[in-house]
Amino acid sequence: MLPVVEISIGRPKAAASRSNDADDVALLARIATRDKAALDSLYREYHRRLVRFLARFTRREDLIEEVVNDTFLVVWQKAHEFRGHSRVSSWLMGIAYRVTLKALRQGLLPTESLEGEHEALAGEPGVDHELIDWLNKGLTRLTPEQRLVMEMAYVMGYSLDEIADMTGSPVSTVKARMFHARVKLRNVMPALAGFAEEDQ
Amino acid sequence: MKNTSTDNGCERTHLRVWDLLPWVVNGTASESVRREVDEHLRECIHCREELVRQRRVHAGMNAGGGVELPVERGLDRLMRKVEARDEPAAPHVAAAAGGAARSRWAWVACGLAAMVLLEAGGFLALGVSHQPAAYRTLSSPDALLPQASIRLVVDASMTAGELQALLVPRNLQIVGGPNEDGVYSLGALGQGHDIEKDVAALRATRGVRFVEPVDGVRSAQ
Repeated sequence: MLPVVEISIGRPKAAASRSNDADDVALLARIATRDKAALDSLYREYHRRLVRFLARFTRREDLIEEVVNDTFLVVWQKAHEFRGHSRVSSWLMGIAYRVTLKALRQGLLPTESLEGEHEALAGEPGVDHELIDWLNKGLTRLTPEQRLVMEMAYVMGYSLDEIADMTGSPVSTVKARMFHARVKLRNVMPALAGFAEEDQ
Repeated sequence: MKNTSTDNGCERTHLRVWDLLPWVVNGTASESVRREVDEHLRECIHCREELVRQRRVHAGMNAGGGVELPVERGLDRLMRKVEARDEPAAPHVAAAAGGAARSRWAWVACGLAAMVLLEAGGFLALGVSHQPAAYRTLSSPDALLPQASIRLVVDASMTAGELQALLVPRNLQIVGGPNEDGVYSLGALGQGHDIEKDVAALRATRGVRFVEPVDGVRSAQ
Protein backbone atom coordinates (compact mmCIF):
# COMPACT_ATOMS: atom_id res chain seq x y z
CA MET A 1 0.00 0.00 0.00
CA LEU A 2 1.24 3.44 -0.85
CA PRO A 3 2.11 5.49 2.20
CA VAL A 4 -0.33 8.23 2.99
CA VAL A 5 1.47 11.53 2.99
CA GLU A 6 0.23 13.40 6.00
CA ILE A 7 -0.30 17.03 5.33
CA SER A 8 -1.04 19.84 7.63
CA ILE A 9 -4.51 21.27 7.37
CA GLY A 10 -3.87 24.87 6.62
CA ARG A 11 -3.55 27.43 3.93
CA PRO A 12 -0.50 26.97 1.71
CA LYS A 13 2.25 29.53 1.93
CA ALA A 14 1.30 31.21 -1.33
CA ALA A 15 -2.19 31.96 -0.13
CA ALA A 16 -1.12 32.74 3.43
CA SER A 17 1.35 35.36 2.29
CA ARG A 18 -1.21 37.41 0.46
CA SER A 19 -0.42 41.03 0.71
CA ASN A 20 -2.46 43.60 2.40
CA ASP A 21 -5.40 44.21 0.08
CA ALA A 22 -5.43 47.93 0.81
CA ASP A 23 -1.88 48.20 -0.57
CA ASP A 24 -2.95 46.30 -3.67
CA VAL A 25 -5.96 48.54 -4.15
CA ALA A 26 -3.69 51.58 -3.97
CA LEU A 27 -1.35 50.04 -6.55
CA LEU A 28 -4.27 49.25 -8.84
CA ALA A 29 -5.55 52.82 -8.56
CA ARG A 30 -2.14 54.07 -9.65
CA ILE A 31 -2.05 51.57 -12.51
CA ALA A 32 -5.39 52.94 -13.68
CA THR A 33 -3.61 56.29 -14.09
CA ARG A 34 -0.96 54.58 -16.27
CA ASP A 35 1.66 54.49 -13.51
CA LYS A 36 4.21 51.94 -14.70
CA ALA A 37 6.05 51.91 -11.36
CA ALA A 38 2.86 50.63 -9.75
CA LEU A 39 2.54 47.95 -12.42
CA ASP A 40 6.15 47.00 -11.71
CA SER A 41 5.35 46.62 -7.98
CA LEU A 42 2.21 44.55 -8.53
CA TYR A 43 4.02 42.33 -11.03
CA ARG A 44 6.82 41.61 -8.56
CA GLU A 45 4.29 40.82 -5.85
CA TYR A 46 2.30 38.29 -7.85
CA HIS A 47 4.95 36.91 -10.21
CA ARG A 48 5.97 33.95 -8.05
CA ARG A 49 2.37 32.99 -7.30
CA LEU A 50 1.35 33.05 -10.95
CA VAL A 51 4.45 31.15 -12.05
CA ARG A 52 3.73 28.49 -9.44
CA PHE A 53 0.17 28.20 -10.71
CA LEU A 54 1.14 27.99 -14.37
CA ALA A 55 4.03 25.61 -13.80
CA ARG A 56 1.37 23.06 -12.87
CA PHE A 57 0.32 23.05 -16.53
CA THR A 58 3.61 23.29 -18.39
CA ARG A 59 7.33 23.47 -17.73
CA ARG A 60 7.90 25.62 -20.81
CA GLU A 61 9.28 28.80 -19.26
CA ASP A 62 8.53 30.90 -22.33
CA LEU A 63 4.86 29.88 -22.22
CA ILE A 64 4.60 30.48 -18.48
CA GLU A 65 6.09 33.94 -18.90
CA GLU A 66 3.79 34.67 -21.82
CA VAL A 67 0.65 33.83 -19.84
CA VAL A 68 1.87 35.82 -16.83
CA ASN A 69 2.54 38.82 -19.08
CA ASP A 70 -0.77 38.43 -20.93
CA THR A 71 -2.43 38.53 -17.52
CA PHE A 72 -0.65 41.74 -16.58
CA LEU A 73 -1.40 43.32 -19.94
CA VAL A 74 -5.08 42.81 -19.12
CA VAL A 75 -4.45 44.28 -15.65
CA TRP A 76 -2.86 47.31 -17.32
CA GLN A 77 -5.85 47.71 -19.63
CA LYS A 78 -8.61 46.97 -17.11
CA ALA A 79 -7.30 48.45 -13.85
CA HIS A 80 -9.77 51.33 -14.15
CA GLU A 81 -12.64 48.81 -14.16
CA PHE A 82 -11.81 47.42 -10.71
CA ARG A 83 -14.67 48.36 -8.42
CA GLY A 84 -13.48 46.81 -5.18
CA HIS A 85 -16.20 44.18 -5.05
CA SER A 86 -13.53 41.55 -4.39
CA ARG A 87 -9.95 41.43 -3.19
CA VAL A 88 -7.37 42.55 -5.73
CA SER A 89 -5.75 39.11 -5.49
CA SER A 90 -9.07 37.48 -6.43
CA TRP A 91 -9.60 39.93 -9.28
CA LEU A 92 -6.10 39.36 -10.60
CA MET A 93 -6.31 35.58 -10.25
CA GLY A 94 -9.65 35.75 -12.05
CA ILE A 95 -7.87 37.36 -15.00
CA ALA A 96 -5.12 34.75 -14.80
CA TYR A 97 -7.81 32.06 -14.74
CA ARG A 98 -9.42 33.34 -17.94
CA VAL A 99 -6.10 33.76 -19.75
CA THR A 100 -5.00 30.28 -18.68
CA LEU A 101 -8.36 28.75 -19.58
CA LYS A 102 -8.12 30.20 -23.06
CA ALA A 103 -4.57 28.90 -23.46
CA LEU A 104 -5.62 25.44 -22.28
CA ARG A 105 -8.64 25.37 -24.62
CA GLN A 106 -6.40 26.30 -27.52
CA GLY A 107 -3.85 23.65 -26.58
CA LEU A 108 -1.14 26.25 -26.03
CA LEU A 109 0.11 24.78 -22.76
CA PRO A 110 1.69 21.41 -23.60
CA THR A 111 1.59 19.14 -20.56
CA GLU A 112 3.87 16.36 -21.81
CA SER A 113 6.89 17.72 -20.02
CA LEU A 114 5.17 17.30 -16.65
CA GLU A 115 5.16 13.55 -17.07
CA GLY A 116 8.15 11.97 -15.43
CA GLU A 117 8.35 14.93 -13.10
CA HIS A 118 9.11 12.53 -10.28
CA GLU A 119 12.57 12.04 -11.78
CA ALA A 120 13.31 15.60 -10.83
CA LEU A 121 12.16 14.80 -7.31
CA ALA A 122 14.26 11.67 -6.98
CA GLY A 123 15.73 11.45 -3.54
CA GLU A 124 13.34 13.96 -2.04
CA PRO A 125 12.09 12.35 1.17
CA GLY A 126 8.39 11.75 1.65
CA VAL A 127 7.57 12.10 -2.05
CA ASP A 128 5.32 9.42 -3.48
CA HIS A 129 6.65 9.21 -7.03
CA GLU A 130 4.04 6.73 -8.20
CA LEU A 131 1.27 8.97 -6.96
CA ILE A 132 2.77 12.01 -8.69
CA ASP A 133 3.08 10.16 -11.98
CA TRP A 134 -0.49 8.97 -11.68
CA LEU A 135 -1.72 12.44 -10.87
CA ASN A 136 0.12 14.11 -13.72
CA LYS A 137 -1.45 11.69 -16.15
CA GLY A 138 -4.87 11.75 -14.54
CA LEU A 139 -5.06 15.53 -14.41
CA THR A 140 -4.61 15.74 -18.17
CA ARG A 141 -7.85 13.76 -18.55
CA LEU A 142 -9.86 16.54 -16.93
CA THR A 143 -11.54 19.33 -18.82
CA PRO A 144 -9.70 22.66 -18.53
CA GLU A 145 -12.44 23.94 -16.20
CA GLN A 146 -12.24 20.89 -13.92
CA ARG A 147 -8.45 21.00 -13.88
CA LEU A 148 -8.37 24.69 -13.03
CA VAL A 149 -10.77 24.31 -10.12
CA MET A 150 -8.69 21.45 -8.74
CA GLU A 151 -5.44 23.40 -9.10
CA MET A 152 -6.96 26.51 -7.55
CA ALA A 153 -8.18 24.55 -4.55
CA TYR A 154 -5.33 22.12 -3.97
CA VAL A 155 -2.27 24.03 -5.17
CA MET A 156 -3.25 27.66 -4.71
CA GLY A 157 -5.28 26.96 -1.57
CA TYR A 158 -8.33 29.04 -2.43
CA SER A 159 -11.66 28.63 -0.70
CA LEU A 160 -14.85 27.59 -2.43
CA ASP A 161 -16.18 31.16 -2.41
CA GLU A 162 -12.92 32.59 -3.69
CA ILE A 163 -12.85 30.17 -6.61
CA ALA A 164 -16.46 30.99 -7.44
CA ASP A 165 -15.53 34.66 -7.41
CA MET A 166 -12.40 34.23 -9.54
CA THR A 167 -14.05 32.01 -12.11
CA GLY A 168 -17.23 34.06 -12.22
CA SER A 169 -19.24 30.91 -11.54
CA PRO A 170 -21.89 30.02 -8.96
CA VAL A 171 -20.62 28.05 -5.97
CA SER A 172 -22.71 25.10 -7.16
CA THR A 173 -20.81 25.08 -10.47
CA VAL A 174 -17.46 25.07 -8.70
CA LYS A 175 -18.61 22.17 -6.53
CA ALA A 176 -19.86 20.31 -9.58
CA ARG A 177 -16.57 20.79 -11.44
CA MET A 178 -14.63 19.57 -8.43
CA PHE A 179 -16.98 16.63 -8.01
CA HIS A 180 -16.56 15.52 -11.62
CA ALA A 181 -12.80 16.05 -11.43
CA ARG A 182 -12.58 13.79 -8.38
CA VAL A 183 -14.77 11.13 -9.94
CA LYS A 184 -12.80 11.20 -13.18
CA LEU A 185 -9.48 10.94 -11.36
CA ARG A 186 -10.79 8.06 -9.32
CA ASN A 187 -12.02 6.27 -12.43
CA VAL A 188 -8.69 6.50 -14.21
CA MET A 189 -6.70 5.46 -11.15
CA PRO A 190 -6.81 1.68 -11.59
CA ALA A 191 -5.88 1.89 -15.24
CA LEU A 192 -2.92 4.09 -14.50
CA ALA A 193 -1.33 2.89 -11.31
CA GLY A 194 -3.41 0.26 -9.56
CA PHE A 195 -3.99 2.89 -6.94
CA ALA A 196 -7.54 1.83 -6.09
CA GLU A 197 -6.62 -1.76 -5.33
CA GLU A 198 -3.91 -0.64 -2.96
CA ASP A 199 -6.34 1.69 -1.33
CA GLN A 200 -8.48 -1.17 -0.13
CA MET B 1 -42.19 7.84 6.83
CA LYS B 2 -40.02 9.00 9.67
CA ASN B 3 -37.25 6.62 8.70
CA THR B 4 -37.43 7.73 5.07
CA SER B 5 -37.22 11.34 6.12
CA THR B 6 -34.21 10.60 8.30
CA ASP B 7 -32.58 8.66 5.48
CA ASN B 8 -33.14 11.54 3.11
CA GLY B 9 -31.63 13.90 5.67
CA CYS B 10 -28.59 11.65 6.09
CA GLU B 11 -28.21 11.36 2.33
CA ARG B 12 -28.34 15.13 1.93
CA THR B 13 -25.71 15.55 4.66
CA HIS B 14 -23.57 12.86 3.05
CA LEU B 15 -23.69 14.55 -0.36
CA ARG B 16 -23.03 17.96 1.15
CA VAL B 17 -20.03 16.69 3.13
CA TRP B 18 -18.75 14.80 0.10
CA ASP B 19 -18.81 18.03 -1.93
CA LEU B 20 -17.04 20.03 0.77
CA LEU B 21 -14.18 17.63 1.50
CA PRO B 22 -11.67 19.35 -0.84
CA TRP B 23 -12.00 22.56 1.13
CA VAL B 24 -11.58 20.70 4.39
CA VAL B 25 -8.43 19.21 2.89
CA ASN B 26 -7.04 22.59 1.79
CA GLY B 27 -7.88 24.13 5.14
CA THR B 28 -10.24 26.85 3.93
CA ALA B 29 -13.53 25.36 5.17
CA SER B 30 -15.21 27.39 7.88
CA GLU B 31 -15.35 26.23 11.47
CA SER B 32 -19.01 25.29 11.17
CA VAL B 33 -18.38 23.27 8.00
CA ARG B 34 -15.49 21.45 9.65
CA ARG B 35 -17.70 20.59 12.64
CA GLU B 36 -20.40 19.25 10.33
CA VAL B 37 -17.86 17.23 8.37
CA ASP B 38 -16.22 15.82 11.51
CA GLU B 39 -19.57 14.74 12.82
CA HIS B 40 -20.48 12.99 9.59
CA LEU B 41 -17.06 11.35 9.23
CA ARG B 42 -17.54 9.52 12.51
CA GLU B 43 -20.37 7.50 10.99
CA CYS B 44 -19.53 7.44 7.24
CA ILE B 45 -16.71 5.18 6.13
CA HIS B 46 -17.12 6.29 2.49
CA CYS B 47 -16.43 9.91 3.33
CA ARG B 48 -13.52 8.90 5.57
CA GLU B 49 -11.98 6.97 2.67
CA GLU B 50 -12.62 9.85 0.31
CA LEU B 51 -10.98 12.27 2.76
CA VAL B 52 -7.86 10.08 2.83
CA ARG B 53 -7.91 9.85 -0.96
CA GLN B 54 -8.24 13.62 -1.40
CA ARG B 55 -5.45 14.26 1.11
CA ARG B 56 -3.21 12.05 -1.00
CA VAL B 57 -4.20 13.90 -4.15
CA HIS B 58 -3.57 17.21 -2.39
CA ALA B 59 -0.16 16.04 -1.15
CA GLY B 60 0.77 14.68 -4.56
CA MET B 61 -0.14 17.92 -6.30
CA ASN B 62 1.97 19.92 -3.85
CA ALA B 63 5.05 17.70 -3.94
CA GLY B 64 8.23 19.02 -5.41
CA GLY B 65 9.68 22.43 -5.81
CA GLY B 66 8.19 25.14 -7.91
CA VAL B 67 9.62 26.68 -11.03
CA GLU B 68 11.62 29.84 -10.54
CA LEU B 69 11.55 32.34 -13.36
CA PRO B 70 13.61 35.53 -13.40
CA VAL B 71 11.19 38.30 -12.56
CA GLU B 72 13.36 40.98 -14.18
CA ARG B 73 13.29 39.33 -17.59
CA GLY B 74 9.52 38.93 -17.54
CA LEU B 75 9.01 42.45 -16.28
CA ASP B 76 11.25 43.89 -18.97
CA ARG B 77 9.25 42.10 -21.67
CA LEU B 78 5.98 43.19 -20.12
CA MET B 79 7.05 46.84 -20.08
CA ARG B 80 8.05 46.67 -23.73
CA LYS B 81 4.62 45.25 -24.59
CA VAL B 82 2.90 47.91 -22.51
CA GLU B 83 4.82 50.65 -24.31
CA ALA B 84 3.98 49.12 -27.68
CA ARG B 85 0.29 48.97 -26.81
CA ASP B 86 0.22 52.50 -25.48
CA GLU B 87 1.57 54.00 -28.67
CA PRO B 88 -1.08 56.34 -30.04
CA ALA B 89 -3.01 54.73 -32.85
CA ALA B 90 -2.66 57.61 -35.32
CA PRO B 91 1.16 57.78 -35.51
CA HIS B 92 1.16 54.03 -35.55
CA VAL B 93 -1.11 54.03 -38.53
CA ALA B 94 0.80 56.83 -40.26
CA ALA B 95 4.11 55.13 -39.73
CA ALA B 96 2.77 51.86 -40.93
CA ALA B 97 0.71 53.29 -43.75
CA GLY B 98 3.41 52.70 -46.32
CA GLY B 99 3.82 49.09 -45.33
CA ALA B 100 0.17 48.36 -44.75
CA ALA B 101 -0.90 50.02 -47.92
CA ARG B 102 1.84 48.40 -49.91
CA SER B 103 -0.08 45.27 -50.70
CA ARG B 104 -3.31 47.14 -51.23
CA TRP B 105 -1.91 49.77 -53.53
CA ALA B 106 1.04 47.90 -54.92
CA TRP B 107 -0.53 47.38 -58.30
CA VAL B 108 -1.39 51.07 -58.72
CA ALA B 109 1.94 52.26 -57.37
CA CYS B 110 3.78 51.79 -60.62
CA GLY B 111 0.98 53.45 -62.55
CA LEU B 112 0.86 56.42 -60.21
CA ALA B 113 4.61 56.82 -60.29
CA ALA B 114 4.58 56.72 -64.06
CA MET B 115 1.79 59.31 -64.16
CA VAL B 116 3.70 61.56 -61.77
CA LEU B 117 6.77 61.36 -63.94
CA LEU B 118 4.78 62.02 -67.09
CA GLU B 119 2.92 64.91 -65.53
CA ALA B 120 6.09 66.42 -64.09
CA GLY B 121 7.74 66.12 -67.48
CA GLY B 122 4.72 67.71 -69.17
CA PHE B 123 4.62 70.60 -66.70
CA LEU B 124 8.31 71.26 -67.21
CA ALA B 125 7.93 71.18 -70.96
CA LEU B 126 4.83 73.44 -71.01
CA GLY B 127 5.93 75.78 -68.22
CA VAL B 128 2.73 75.19 -66.30
CA SER B 129 2.86 76.10 -62.61
CA HIS B 130 2.44 73.14 -60.26
CA GLN B 131 -1.02 72.67 -58.80
CA PRO B 132 -1.76 70.56 -55.72
CA ALA B 133 -2.12 66.99 -56.85
CA ALA B 134 -5.56 65.47 -56.88
CA TYR B 135 -4.10 62.09 -56.01
CA ARG B 136 -2.29 60.76 -53.01
CA THR B 137 1.25 59.47 -52.93
CA LEU B 138 2.24 56.47 -50.95
CA SER B 139 4.01 58.68 -48.42
CA SER B 140 0.84 60.66 -47.74
CA PRO B 141 -1.34 59.64 -44.82
CA ASP B 142 -4.03 57.45 -46.33
CA ALA B 143 -7.33 59.07 -45.52
CA LEU B 144 -9.10 55.96 -46.79
CA LEU B 145 -7.51 53.75 -44.17
CA PRO B 146 -9.88 53.24 -41.26
CA GLN B 147 -8.88 54.22 -37.75
CA ALA B 148 -7.25 51.46 -35.72
CA SER B 149 -9.96 49.98 -33.54
CA ILE B 150 -8.60 46.54 -32.56
CA ARG B 151 -5.24 45.19 -31.49
CA LEU B 152 -4.57 41.62 -32.61
CA VAL B 153 -1.85 39.07 -31.93
CA VAL B 154 -1.93 35.75 -33.74
CA ASP B 155 0.14 32.60 -33.58
CA ALA B 156 3.43 32.86 -35.39
CA SER B 157 2.36 29.82 -37.38
CA MET B 158 -0.64 31.62 -38.89
CA THR B 159 -0.07 32.23 -42.58
CA ALA B 160 -0.90 35.44 -44.41
CA GLY B 161 -3.69 33.59 -46.19
CA GLU B 162 -5.21 32.41 -42.93
CA LEU B 163 -4.99 35.92 -41.51
CA GLN B 164 -6.69 37.31 -44.60
CA ALA B 165 -9.42 34.67 -44.37
CA LEU B 166 -9.93 35.71 -40.76
CA LEU B 167 -10.25 39.43 -41.41
CA VAL B 168 -11.88 39.84 -44.83
CA PRO B 169 -15.27 38.27 -43.97
CA ARG B 170 -15.51 40.61 -40.99
CA ASN B 171 -14.61 43.67 -43.05
CA LEU B 172 -11.52 44.21 -40.96
CA GLN B 173 -8.30 45.51 -42.38
CA ILE B 174 -4.74 45.69 -41.09
CA VAL B 175 -3.90 49.36 -40.71
CA GLY B 176 -0.71 48.92 -38.75
CA GLY B 177 1.84 46.40 -37.61
CA PRO B 178 2.89 43.88 -36.88
CA ASN B 179 5.26 45.64 -34.51
CA GLU B 180 8.19 43.89 -32.86
CA ASP B 181 5.80 42.14 -30.49
CA GLY B 182 3.66 40.90 -33.35
CA VAL B 183 0.77 43.27 -32.61
CA TYR B 184 -1.43 44.20 -35.57
CA SER B 185 -3.69 47.24 -35.56
CA LEU B 186 -7.00 46.54 -37.29
CA GLY B 187 -9.50 49.00 -38.65
CA ALA B 188 -13.12 48.34 -39.56
CA LEU B 189 -14.22 49.02 -43.14
CA GLY B 190 -17.63 50.61 -43.58
CA GLN B 191 -20.11 51.95 -41.08
CA GLY B 192 -22.00 50.38 -38.19
CA HIS B 193 -19.33 48.00 -37.03
CA ASP B 194 -19.84 46.37 -33.64
CA ILE B 195 -16.27 46.30 -32.38
CA GLU B 196 -17.16 44.25 -29.30
CA LYS B 197 -18.72 41.63 -31.56
CA ASP B 198 -15.67 41.59 -33.82
CA VAL B 199 -13.42 41.21 -30.77
CA ALA B 200 -15.52 38.34 -29.43
CA ALA B 201 -15.49 36.58 -32.80
CA LEU B 202 -11.72 36.95 -33.15
CA ARG B 203 -11.16 35.71 -29.61
CA ALA B 204 -13.10 32.56 -30.41
CA THR B 205 -10.91 31.83 -33.41
CA ARG B 206 -8.16 29.27 -33.22
CA GLY B 207 -4.73 30.77 -33.68
CA VAL B 208 -5.70 34.11 -32.17
CA ARG B 209 -3.61 34.80 -29.10
CA PHE B 210 -4.79 38.22 -28.04
CA VAL B 211 -7.50 40.64 -29.09
CA GLU B 212 -8.39 43.93 -27.46
CA PRO B 213 -10.31 46.97 -28.61
CA VAL B 214 -8.17 50.08 -28.89
CA ASP B 215 -8.82 52.50 -26.04
CA GLY B 216 -11.41 55.11 -26.86
CA VAL B 217 -12.83 53.24 -29.83
CA ARG B 218 -15.09 51.06 -27.73
CA SER B 219 -16.61 54.04 -25.97
CA ALA B 220 -16.97 55.86 -29.26
CA GLN B 221 -19.04 53.05 -30.74
